Amino acid sequence: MQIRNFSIVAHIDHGKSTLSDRLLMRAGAITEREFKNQILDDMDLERERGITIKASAVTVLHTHTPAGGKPEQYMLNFIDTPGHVDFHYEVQKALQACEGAILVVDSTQGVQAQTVANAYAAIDVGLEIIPVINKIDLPGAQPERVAEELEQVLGFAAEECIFVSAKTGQGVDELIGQLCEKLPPPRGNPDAPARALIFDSIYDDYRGVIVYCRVVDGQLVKGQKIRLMGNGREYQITDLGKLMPRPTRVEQIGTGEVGYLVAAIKNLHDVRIGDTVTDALTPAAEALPGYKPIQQMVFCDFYPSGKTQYDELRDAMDRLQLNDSSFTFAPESSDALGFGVRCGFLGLLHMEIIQERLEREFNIEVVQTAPTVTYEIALTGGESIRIDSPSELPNLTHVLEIREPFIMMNLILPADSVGALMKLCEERRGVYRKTEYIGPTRVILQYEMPLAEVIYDFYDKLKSATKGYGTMDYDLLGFRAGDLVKMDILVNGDKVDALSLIVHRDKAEARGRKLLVRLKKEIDRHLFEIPLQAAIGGKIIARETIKSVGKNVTAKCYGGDVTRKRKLLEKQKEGKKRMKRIGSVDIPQEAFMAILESED
Amino acid sequence: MILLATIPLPAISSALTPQHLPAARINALYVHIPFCFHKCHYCDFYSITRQTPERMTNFVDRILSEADLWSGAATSPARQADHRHLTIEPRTIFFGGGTPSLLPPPAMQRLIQGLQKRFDCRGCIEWTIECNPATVSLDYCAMMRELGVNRLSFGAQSFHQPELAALERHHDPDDVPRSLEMARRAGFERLNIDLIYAIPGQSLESWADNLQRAIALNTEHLSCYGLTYEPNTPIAVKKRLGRITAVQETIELEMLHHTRRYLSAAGLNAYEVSNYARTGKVCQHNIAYWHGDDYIALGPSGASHVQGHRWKNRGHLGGWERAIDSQTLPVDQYEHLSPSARAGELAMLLLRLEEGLSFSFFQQRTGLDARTIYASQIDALTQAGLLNCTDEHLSFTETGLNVIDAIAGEFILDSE
Repeated sequence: MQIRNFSIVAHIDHGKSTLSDRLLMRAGAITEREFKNQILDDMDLERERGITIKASAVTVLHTHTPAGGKPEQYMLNFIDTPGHVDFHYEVQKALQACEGAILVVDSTQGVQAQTVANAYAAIDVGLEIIPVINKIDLPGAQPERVAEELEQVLGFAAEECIFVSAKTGQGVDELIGQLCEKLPPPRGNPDAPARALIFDSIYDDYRGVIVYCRVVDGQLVKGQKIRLMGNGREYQITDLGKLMPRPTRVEQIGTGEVGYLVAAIKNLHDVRIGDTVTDALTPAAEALPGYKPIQQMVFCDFYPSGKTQYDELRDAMDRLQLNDSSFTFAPESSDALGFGVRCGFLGLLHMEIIQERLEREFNIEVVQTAPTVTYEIALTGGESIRIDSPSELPNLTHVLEIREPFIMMNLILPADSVGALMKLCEERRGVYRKTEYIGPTRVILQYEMPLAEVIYDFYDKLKSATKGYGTMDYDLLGFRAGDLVKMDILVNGDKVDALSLIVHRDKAEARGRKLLVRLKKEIDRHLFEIPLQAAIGGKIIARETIKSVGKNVTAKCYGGDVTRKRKLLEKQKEGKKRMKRIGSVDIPQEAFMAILESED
Repeated sequence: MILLATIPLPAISSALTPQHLPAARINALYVHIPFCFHKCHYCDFYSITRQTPERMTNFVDRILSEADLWSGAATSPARQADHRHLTIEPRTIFFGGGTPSLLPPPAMQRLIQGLQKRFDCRGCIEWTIECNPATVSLDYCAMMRELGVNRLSFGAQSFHQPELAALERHHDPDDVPRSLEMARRAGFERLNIDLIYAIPGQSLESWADNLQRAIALNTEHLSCYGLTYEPNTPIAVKKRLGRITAVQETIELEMLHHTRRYLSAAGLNAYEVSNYARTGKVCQHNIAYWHGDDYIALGPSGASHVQGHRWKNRGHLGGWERAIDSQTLPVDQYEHLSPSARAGELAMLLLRLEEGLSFSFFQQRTGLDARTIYASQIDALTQAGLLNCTDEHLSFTETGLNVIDAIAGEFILDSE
């Protein structure tokens, strides 16, 4: 039997999930009804957001007859990949488990930022790529033009592209044929000690961690004692299986094949994507290359709000971590917001997903503080530390320099919005790299930018400047030193930790002023005047004042109806319960989001 | 701290009977007479305008029936047996409305005498009846005076016709001096005029002129209320629709402070946010409200308070009538305050008084030391220059008065 391992990569909404399901259906693995339910995505949230968060692998047996040849059995292993830049590492590992990839482009949308990013990711790990132009059934489809774009941007021959409608099934047979004929078979040594690449893992309440892997050398057998080479932990395989697409038990997974193993692993943290499974008794000499521990780049705090208590929030975070080990959290407390958790995420979308899952699956309400990035602090003693919160910044006398993460930003834009985006990138301390035309009306714009400048509202700005047509993708370049300072915010003379932020010195004053203006809007007038100040070190760089309440006296006769008077006053003060009191100032929770939105 | 919480209480308001109340001495009595000739556009007190003499006569019968429920309770053997003595001996009585003076003379006479028959009124030092300037005659005043009423309060509101028109008040400004004159001739030595300031279109000068005219009438007492736009009153609707414009807040505050200075110079000292009196002539009935005394109210929408139990009578005449006819208290909203809520409420009331909150009085009423339980508020508010704190008193400052509701709110919230 022939084996073909492949992934589908695409920009969001270009039809990856539908095409996956259509392929499975054509190959006879699922029914028309299941097709409608998009079985590969098993979390509601993913379906609603139209993205796939967790990869999984499906095996289909297919009989293919090449032109003029004999029918032959093919085992098609389809490895799904997360569709967002935040999961870059996971995407890379999933791709590494394959020999080929289908690159899907929407025939009405053309090449987008993630099309390029994903294509390069696949090329980087040496995959054979089959370009597919999807949604050709739609009225606005321009498959030929998109094929030309692909040729221009990524160098595929336009005539290589397969025109497909995942929805109607048109072109799908041809695609399956190419999968069988064009993709190379897996190479590996069946006689070498077992090595399997972990590309995904999920937590199951009954069986513990389920590990998805691609066997590169040797084989995995039920009952085998295995070792995870990254952390040296050993387990015994209790169960092996493949998703066909229903979980189906097997006795072994052979060289080049894909499947899952269960080995009484209790904690998702023990299983790292990219790690190598080997035989515990005859271990391989070397692990598979490219294993990296997960690096969270975006941090923010969640504080319980509304009816939610801190304990409930913690429990929910614990539960969430059972099936997503890629975020971190640790207890945190702030004068302003009480007890909460400090969380680290792979990126912005990842942060949003976790927050939404908290609300949706656990009914947890949180206030989220402004996201920050990780900073690398070079200390005078020669060592360097990483901090993910402005409050962790050591005393400046010990700080040699502050370094921030930089990214390479790829933007794909309608040509007429290039000016607006260049202006935006310049404002955000971007360093211009290049502009490249793809077709007559679209442009790739490339900037090196500080990640911190992107995590606020860059995406929203991009969407509004391009009427929704612009797309972005980024790669981490590393840490670079900058003239960065910590700006503190003082409300009525009291420093509010939750509002401190690290900013570039040149932008501090403008940023501080905007932030104070926003705060002024959020904080109600009090019985006394409230000064608002932004400060760097001891130096005040911006100031605003909230005037005291002018009139709040009812000179009215209520007779003996004291209850009424009291209720009126109670109502007047009702909103205060949702506020945090700092010193003697009541600050609404919204005010803590002011840092998020001060970039107008 | 306070024992009231241990007394079993009715869960729902309609079940309240005098039997449930703890021992109390009730020294203040209010009677709400909900009849008006015309409903003024700013007023949100309960009143009805289309009434017949017959209904007013029946009304008096029912007020007296309601009084019977109380006097009966006060003397009930059950209460006597467990020493929960309920004594109703009014020191002050207040007829408010509505327009009490709309009651036909025989009805008024029957009401006054009926109450005197049911309660021991020998200790009554102040009996006030609210009157509309255009509604009283000399005979009517004389009749009231003879029966023991010793204080009349006239709703003058303004001496300027356009301002009265803005309020939809239907009397002639000249009715006021005429009515006061009649009252004096009938032997009344304690008279009050109600005035309203911050009427749309009113200037500071116009308000000052109103005050001057009021002082010229030489009353012992003046109440000056800032116009309040109560939800769903016609005047509030007009404001919302932009047909009238409210007086600016800063001007309203100037009016308030001008009033205090001007009346004080004329011998009428402020003793509460809206009330001014010559020495010894403060309204004792209002003081009873503001000191958290026990009082009961008869008539629709009347509000009562007995030892932390507060309730309000049914607001509509028909509902009130039906309750009385079935021999039950016409209670609509009832609540029993926790000791801390009661303390907060008392602080709210006392802080509106010129003399402020007396720590010893507060301690005596609540068993709590205000300096301890409100330490943080007192600290913050005195520092902000809004309250004065001496060894004996906590009282508002000039600027504190401007935001007295917010100040009171601090005490209420944090007492919950």
